Amino acid sequence: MYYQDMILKLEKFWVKNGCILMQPYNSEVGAGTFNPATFIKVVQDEPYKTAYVEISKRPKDGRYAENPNRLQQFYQFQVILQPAPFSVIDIYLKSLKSIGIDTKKHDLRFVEDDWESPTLGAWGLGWEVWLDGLEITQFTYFQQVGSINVRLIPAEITYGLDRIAMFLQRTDSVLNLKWSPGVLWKDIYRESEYEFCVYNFKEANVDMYRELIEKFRNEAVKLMEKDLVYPAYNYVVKCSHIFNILDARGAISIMERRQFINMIRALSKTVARRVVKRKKMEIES
Amino acid sequence: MNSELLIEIGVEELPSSYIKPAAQDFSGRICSRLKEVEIDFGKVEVFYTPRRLAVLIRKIEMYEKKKKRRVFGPPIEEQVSDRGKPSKAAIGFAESYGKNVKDLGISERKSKKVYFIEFEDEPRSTKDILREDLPSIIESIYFPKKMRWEETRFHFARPIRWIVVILGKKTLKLKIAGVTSSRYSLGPRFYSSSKINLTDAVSYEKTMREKSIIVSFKKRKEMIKDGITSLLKKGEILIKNEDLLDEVTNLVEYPVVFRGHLDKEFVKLPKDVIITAMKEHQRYFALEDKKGNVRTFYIGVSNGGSDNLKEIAVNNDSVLKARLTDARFYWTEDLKKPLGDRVQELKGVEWHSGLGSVFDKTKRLILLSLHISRILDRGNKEIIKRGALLSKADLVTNMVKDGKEFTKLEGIIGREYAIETGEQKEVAKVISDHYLPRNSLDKLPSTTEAIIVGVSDRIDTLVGSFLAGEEPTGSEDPLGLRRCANGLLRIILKFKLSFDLENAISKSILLFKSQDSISIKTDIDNIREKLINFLMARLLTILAKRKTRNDISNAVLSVYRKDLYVATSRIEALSKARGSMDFEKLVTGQKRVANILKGIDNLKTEVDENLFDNNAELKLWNQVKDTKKNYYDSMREHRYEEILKILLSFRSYIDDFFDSTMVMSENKEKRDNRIKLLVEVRNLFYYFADFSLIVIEKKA
Repeated sequence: MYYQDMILKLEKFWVKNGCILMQPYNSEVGAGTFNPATFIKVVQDEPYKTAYVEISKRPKDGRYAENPNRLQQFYQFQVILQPAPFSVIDIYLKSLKSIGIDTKKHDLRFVEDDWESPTLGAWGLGWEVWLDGLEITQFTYFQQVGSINVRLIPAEITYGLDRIAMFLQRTDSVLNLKWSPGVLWKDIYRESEYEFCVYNFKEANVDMYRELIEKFRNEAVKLMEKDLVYPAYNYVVKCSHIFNILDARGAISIMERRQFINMIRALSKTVARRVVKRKKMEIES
Repeated sequence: MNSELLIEIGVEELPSSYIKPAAQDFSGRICSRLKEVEIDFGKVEVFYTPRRLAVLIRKIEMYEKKKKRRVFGPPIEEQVSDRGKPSKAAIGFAESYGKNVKDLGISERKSKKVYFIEFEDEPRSTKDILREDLPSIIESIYFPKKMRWEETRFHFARPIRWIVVILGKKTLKLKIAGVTSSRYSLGPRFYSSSKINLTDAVSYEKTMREKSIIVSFKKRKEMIKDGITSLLKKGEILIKNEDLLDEVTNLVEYPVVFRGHLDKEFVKLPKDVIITAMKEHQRYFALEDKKGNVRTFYIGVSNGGSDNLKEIAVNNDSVLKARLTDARFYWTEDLKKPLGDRVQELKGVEWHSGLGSVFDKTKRLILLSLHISRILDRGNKEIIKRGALLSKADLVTNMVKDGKEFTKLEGIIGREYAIETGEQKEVAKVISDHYLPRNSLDKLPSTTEAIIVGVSDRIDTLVGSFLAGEEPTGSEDPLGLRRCANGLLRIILKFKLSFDLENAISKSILLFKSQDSISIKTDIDNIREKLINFLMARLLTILAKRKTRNDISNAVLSVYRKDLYVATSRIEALSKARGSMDFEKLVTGQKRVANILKGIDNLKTEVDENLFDNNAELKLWNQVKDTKKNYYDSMREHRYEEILKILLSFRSYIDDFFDSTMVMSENKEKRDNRIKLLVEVRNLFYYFADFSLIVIEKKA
């Protein structure tokens, strides 16, 4: 199965299961959770289902396209089911079947993994899903998001698309994934993967980013004061990405790391609170 | 009439470390509830897998025991003239409960005779009790972390998806976390969680086995062990790992073992890195050959999938390959720089809030290690200096930093990099071994230099944490200072390190004080005292674990705690001497001496032989004079058996003295003289231990 077909099949499966099909966010994110389609919607605490591909940037994980499955840019497939249906795991297993994974023939395991995003003030309990020892999915029941307790507990299902594709195509390097007829992953991404690694590890302008993170933070604060939640959140997302780049550049001391994380968490908390408040006002009016 | 009870809680996969304790807690809570309401039951079996916690109770009574309940009424008015006839109050009491006076009993209460009525309540059925109590019992099962997932906001480690409660042959209906109980369990995920009809409680294990679920932990573990043995080839040895075995046993419902293969290209990586990737990341069992070289094979455990094992193994191989490719990436990146060049980078790593960076710690560590090496007069200075300098450098390497997959290998990675970048073997050894022991079961460092740096590192950590006011309180010990202290003491005792601990601690405090970046707010003298008390308490526990009596340890530690090796040698000698007849009497004598001297200040003047009345006084005094020199010489030379011999020789002199002398003579001069004599004796003993603290058991 081609990479692109796998995406299409997952999209089709989840649309059939009632999800709104969304698209990746238009600013760099470290995970699908950062997309407002997850973060802001989940905090609203209302019945909601969505699915979308997210291109996740993890500057520190780059390996100059030399590692079989470590990249600075991953394809995730994000599903949010709020509230989590009773048979959510069975539905998930069916989704695997829909892309051709016969769970009866493989070693399927749900290995404890208590997920946490310190910058989003979010945590939940769940698992890494292992297929023959390969982590293919992160499955989490959110308990808190934006430092706010969620009442209608959602399930977040995050598929690692690159790995699943490797599994399906029986190739042991992401480079050789067949994207579409006649096109390989490396034809599309090898150059950019390599160049971004050079950029993230060696060239990213530390001074510029230090300046930017400060400015973006101030922008977020200012926008929150004007009650512009979405633009404000957009700058929170940007701060998070800059933090990741500075981190990959090795420019952050342990103390600073804590300060940055606290700063971004405080911002996302303000956003989440505002979202909750707005929802309340909506209900009351 | 009795029957069997089966309760199975079906859950989404529990964390493997939660399972066993939770299952035991569950069965414990049910049993204690049954005992509380007096429902008799027989054998109890506990079953568990990642997806189920089950309890099977045999011969459970269907009803609670009949219970008699008494209601007390008015007292008997005995002064009433027409004796025997019940009072109006008694009649009223009986009637108010719809009874006749004849039904009244008489009982003594608070030394008064009163009437009572006895009721026999209709016993409640086990069914009703379970239906009422099970939900709260299940919610109270202990888990380190719990979650919510549905509307009733039930609290459990992972979502509950089904519940089976069978009493006898009947399903007991109840509702927990939105789930209604039934007789249907679910099969393993690899069989699409098909329904399993449980016809009765007793055949639970057998029925589940037929559906490819091994509910007994012990049996799953046996299957894995046997499986591994059958897969080993000649010359291969399994690297033993009981914890991993237990963990894996609780990751699967039906274990199937397979043999996997590691690419030869990775064998160049350090053995510990390979083992960590296999064991910690992938939960594989690593193998080695007779020479201790890691093999290029491993053994994995699959959850079912027995008809497709070849493919499963190949897939696992490529995951391991990816993991180790990553390790190799770190390895090559890290080796672009000699380990020594990384020391400066430690400035950016905070050691302890308010106490500077790891670089600062490194600087202190070098100085303290050299100091301790000097007072011990042991160890090669150059190796100590270099080893201490590099001891923390691996914290900034790619392999170790940021709490990633190989962070646990701190020290070991440092050793490997040191060797690769041209450091001496002995220096490399200091880097890896100064962390030892990491826990109470771990091995100890093996070279003098590693021992000295390890001791210094621990003293520095303890002093720093105490200075920061973070000493452990109660059960709270977030910095692991108890473990740190235990490690320190174990090393000192094992390697007979004889040095002045107070001095070393003072030196360490000075090193902190002279560091610019640190502001110390606490009272420093107080800190040293606190830390030494803390170490003494740890020492007492360690000695107690080695079957040393606390009173013996205290007898020595209350007079001496400067040098812990000396102190423990004294404790050992004293423990050995204990038990001899003379010893007991000696202690009794010393207790008497201590009692007499209680509240008496040291008298300045010397003992005057002319004031002695009897021979016993003179003999005791002569014994003091005769043995004094040998005693103090032996003390200096740590000849504790000799010392005890001397002290024991006092026994008869002290006994005779007390037999024939009245210390509290009316004559003040004589009395003071006798007290002085006893002070001399006491001081001699006290120099070694406070014998009066030793407990002598009264023999029956």
